[in-house]
This record gives sequence, structure tokens and C-alpha cells, in this order.
Amino acid sequence: MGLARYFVKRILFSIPLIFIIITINFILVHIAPGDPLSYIVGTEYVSPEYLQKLRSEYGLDRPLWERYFIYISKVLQLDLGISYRFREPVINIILERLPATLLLMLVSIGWSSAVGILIGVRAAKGYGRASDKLASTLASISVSIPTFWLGIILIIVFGVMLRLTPTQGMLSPNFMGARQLTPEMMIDILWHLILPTLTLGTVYLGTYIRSVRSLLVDELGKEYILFAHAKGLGSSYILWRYAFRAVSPSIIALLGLNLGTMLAGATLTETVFAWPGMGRLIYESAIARDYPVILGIFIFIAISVVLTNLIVDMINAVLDPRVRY
Amino acid sequence: MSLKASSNKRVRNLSKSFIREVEKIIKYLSKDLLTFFSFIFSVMIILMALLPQYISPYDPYKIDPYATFKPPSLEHLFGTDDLGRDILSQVIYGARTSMIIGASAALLSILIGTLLGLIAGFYGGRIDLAISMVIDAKLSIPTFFLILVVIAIFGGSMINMIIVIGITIWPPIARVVRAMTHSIRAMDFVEAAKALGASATWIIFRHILPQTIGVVLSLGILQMGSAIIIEAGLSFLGLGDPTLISWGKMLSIAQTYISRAWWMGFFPGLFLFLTILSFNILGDKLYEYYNPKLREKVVYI
Repeated sequence: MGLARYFVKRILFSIPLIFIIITINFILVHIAPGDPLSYIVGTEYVSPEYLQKLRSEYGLDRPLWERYFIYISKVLQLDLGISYRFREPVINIILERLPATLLLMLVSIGWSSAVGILIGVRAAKGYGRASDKLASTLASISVSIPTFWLGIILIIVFGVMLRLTPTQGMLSPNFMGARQLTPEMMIDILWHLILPTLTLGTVYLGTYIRSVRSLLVDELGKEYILFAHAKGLGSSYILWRYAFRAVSPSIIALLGLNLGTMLAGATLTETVFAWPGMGRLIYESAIARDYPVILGIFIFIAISVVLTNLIVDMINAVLDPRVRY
Repeated sequence: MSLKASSNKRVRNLSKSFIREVEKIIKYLSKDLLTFFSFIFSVMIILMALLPQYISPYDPYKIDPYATFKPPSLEHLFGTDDLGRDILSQVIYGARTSMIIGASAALLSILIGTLLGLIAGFYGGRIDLAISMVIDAKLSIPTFFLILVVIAIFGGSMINMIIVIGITIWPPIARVVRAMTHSIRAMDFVEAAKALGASATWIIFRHILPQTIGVVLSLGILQMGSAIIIEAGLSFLGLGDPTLISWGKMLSIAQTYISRAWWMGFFPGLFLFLTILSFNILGDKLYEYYNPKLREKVVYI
């Protein structure tokens, strides 16, 4: 009963958000300098009749509000336009690059949240003592490191000086063009993944340490914790089974919220390591001024973030009755 | 005459209490070593940004074809780059770019965030609902990409970057100011001021705003750090102002020569890192100073 109402409410909140994102994009396209047609025909000479034909074909001669609705319906059909550079639908290019980014992000989220939770719990347990201060310092350093600088340092140390790990790309040259995913290929990908995931994960480690610590510290100040002590329960039992369990929904929600900011870090990481994902695509498109791809990625990412947050909140509502009210 | 004298006295009292406050803050910040170093480093960066011509040993733009890729030495402390330019001098001038963009964007976000926060918190009702929805919406749209898209379309001149970053990063400030205003508004002295016939603007700017200044200032320092890293990220991606010396751009160039000249990327990145770290630590400490409740919590473990 409460659950269904919460779902409806939460979905109703997400819909305007998606429209706001599409509208921002529409506005950006329309106040961008230059005639949109010049992006299609480029610098070649074309007859005015042909231009007129293109104009009506793309609906550019219709009134603004009509174009707005055409735009919304196109985006909802996942038609994000055509790339100037590849002459291919933007959505296909994005979907082609998506798996590499997802792999990088999921592995990075996985290890950094696990390590971050462990350190954060340790910090809350030693609140105000040396271990807590150490964890806070570590968190400050982690959130302040520029992603691309860390990547460059890791390449210099592990790639150039020690020659331990590959530093560029996702696959060794001898696997290029392979049709099937063989076990050796998977190991090769993992080998290439080490430095990028170390970079991306380290930068977000601090966020997890900080939030877990502050959530737990607030929880540990509540009276039921004192009561549990009075009952004679052990410290680590109380810490994990009582306090940590109580704050875990907030941690899950945080993982969802971090997704958007993590994509920013992924862009910079992929640029440094030539990782063939969406972030690298943004960089290449920005340099080539391939606007449909840049705008398409923005809309794709923004909507994915909204939807992920929605899903995370729904999972939380199922797991934790407190969220529903 | 007497009015002037009393206003003079007021100014003197105010400046005295201001100095006392600054002394207290510096004392608080000097309590632990890391914060103290952050404070010193920030002052150093500000000096570098204000007076680069007196500090930098060389002209940062001077090309020397006979001194390319020189490793760090006494002559060039941070080495030279692919065109023989002195890295240290470029790092010093890069501080200016970072600080101008960081400070201006933070200031802009403070103005927008404080104003909207005050309005939403004070008036409540529908205005609050509308502003809160904008804040929530902005928080769920990935900031860096929004900025990246706008800069990619309109170009990354310094003024564009300041405006775009400034009008994108204000929501956290608005959220805190809104909550503070909301709780201050419910206090008795506001009721008393109303009974004495004070207008809404008077109460907002005379009674509520001064109480939020400390917190806003500390958030502003944190925002400055994020503005600096956003600028560096954009410049690293090749979207920055091509005429400026920027740490992000230096790192982007260094990437090409990574196996040949590690110093080209190491030093600008180190300064970027230490600047952001210092601002983050100072901002956090200052926030803690203005929120005594955060300092010592009771923990039953």
C-alpha cells in the first residue's frame, strides 16, 4: 500500500526532471552559434533549393514550439541525431562505447565502496582518535586528487618506470579484431583495467569514507545503541548488526547519486588511458566539435542518472520501510 | 556631528570585532598541523596569483629552442617543456588563472545561492517549493557534463567559464542557507523585529544574512576548490581558453611527452592537487568552526 504510493510519487518526480533535461538540451541547440544546416552540409557549396529542401526535411522551417515537440518525441524514441564525424546515428555510437565505460565504472565503484566502507566504519569506531583523524586525512586527499594527474602519475610509475602494466587502451594489439571473447582476452582486458580502475576508484574512495563515517557517527549517538551496550552486546556486533544496518539504505542511495559525478571522473580517466568508452568519446567529439554526439551523450547520461536514482530509491523503499514515509 | 561621531565609533567597534574574529579563526585553524599547512599554502598560492611577475624566475611564454625537455635543475627548478619554457614560471602564472576563475565563479555561486536560499527559507510556501525543486533538479543533473556541453558549444573563454561554472554550482549553498534561514526565522527575535514594524527585507538582510555569512564563506572556499578542478578538467580536455596558462592545459600537453619528461605533468598537477586539498581542508575546518555542533558528538561505542 505505502510502497505503491511511494513508487508513484517517486516516478512522478522523475518525469519532469527528464523533461527539464531535454528542454535544457533543446535550448542549448537553439542558442548555439551558427545555422544548424551548416553542420549538415559543412563547407561544401550547395544550391539554395537543396538547402530549402533540407530545411523542411529537418523541420527547421516550422515554428519553435512545434520543433520543441518534434525534438522531445525524437529523444523519447532514442533518436539523438547523426554524428558529423562518423555519419552514423549518435545512439549507435554511444551504445557501442557503453560496455567499456560500464566495466570501468562498476569495477571502480565495487572496490572503492568496499574499501571506503571498511575505512569509514573503522573511523566511526575510533571517533575522535588517531584512526579517525587518519581516515579523515585520507578522505581529504582522495577527494582532492585531480583524476587526470593521478592517472599520469600512475602511468609514469607503473608504465614508464617499472614497466609492469599496460597504460593505454583496453586490449593488446594481438587480440585486436578477434571475433569471440576468449579467456586469454578477458585476462588481457583485466590487465589493462588495473591502472584506470585504480585511478577512478581512488578519487571516489574519499566520498565513501566520509559519508559512511558521518552517517555512522550520527547513528552511534542514538540511545538504542547505548541500550544495546547495557544489554551486554559486543561492540563490533552493535557496530555492524545495529548501526551499519540502519545506515545502509543511505549508503546505497549514495552509490546511486555518485554515479553522475563518477561519470565525470570516468571521462577524464578514459582520456588519460585511451580507454575506448563514452568518456573518451566525449573528449574526441569535443575536439572535433561534433555537437550531436556531445549533446547526445549529455542527454543519455543525464537521463541514465535520473533513472538510476529512481531505481536505487525504489530498491531502498522495498528494503527499508522508513524510506516510504 | 554627533551622528557622525557615533557612526565612526560604530565602524571602529565593528572593525575591532572583525579583527578579533579573524584572530579567533586563525587560532582555531592553527590547532592542527595539516590545517595550518593548508592555510600557509593557500596564502602562498594567493601571493603567486597576485604577484607572478615578482616571483617567477623567467618569462613563462619565453621559448628557448636550446633548452627543451631539461629535467629539474638549479637553473630550472621544475625543468622545461617541449618548447624550452620554464615550468616553474608557468606554474606560477597558472595559479593566477586558477584563482581568478575559482574566486569569481565561487563568488557568483555565493551570490545566487545565498539570495535564493534566503528567499526560499524566509518566505516558505510555494516560493520555497519552486526553489527547492530547482535545487533538487540541478543536483540530479551531472554538473561537469552540463558545464562541458555549454563550454563545448560557446567556447571556453575565461569569462564564459566563470559564468557557466558560477551558475551551475550554487545549489549546495542555496540548500544550506535555506535551512539556516528557515530555522532562524522561527526564533523569537524575528517575531520581535516584526512586531516593531521591521520589513521583510530589513529582517532578511539585517538579521538573517549576517548569521549565515560564516557558513557561506566556508562553503564558498569549498566551491572555489571545485571551480578550480572543473576549470582544470575542461582545459585538460582541450576546451579551455587557449590564450591562458592553465595547470589543466599544461597537464594535457605533458600527456604527449609522458615517457620523455615526467616533470612536465608532475609539477603543475602537484600544485593543482595541493591547492584543492588546502581549500578543501580550510573550507571543512571553517564550516566546523561555524557549526560547533559538528565538533564533538556523543558516540556510544
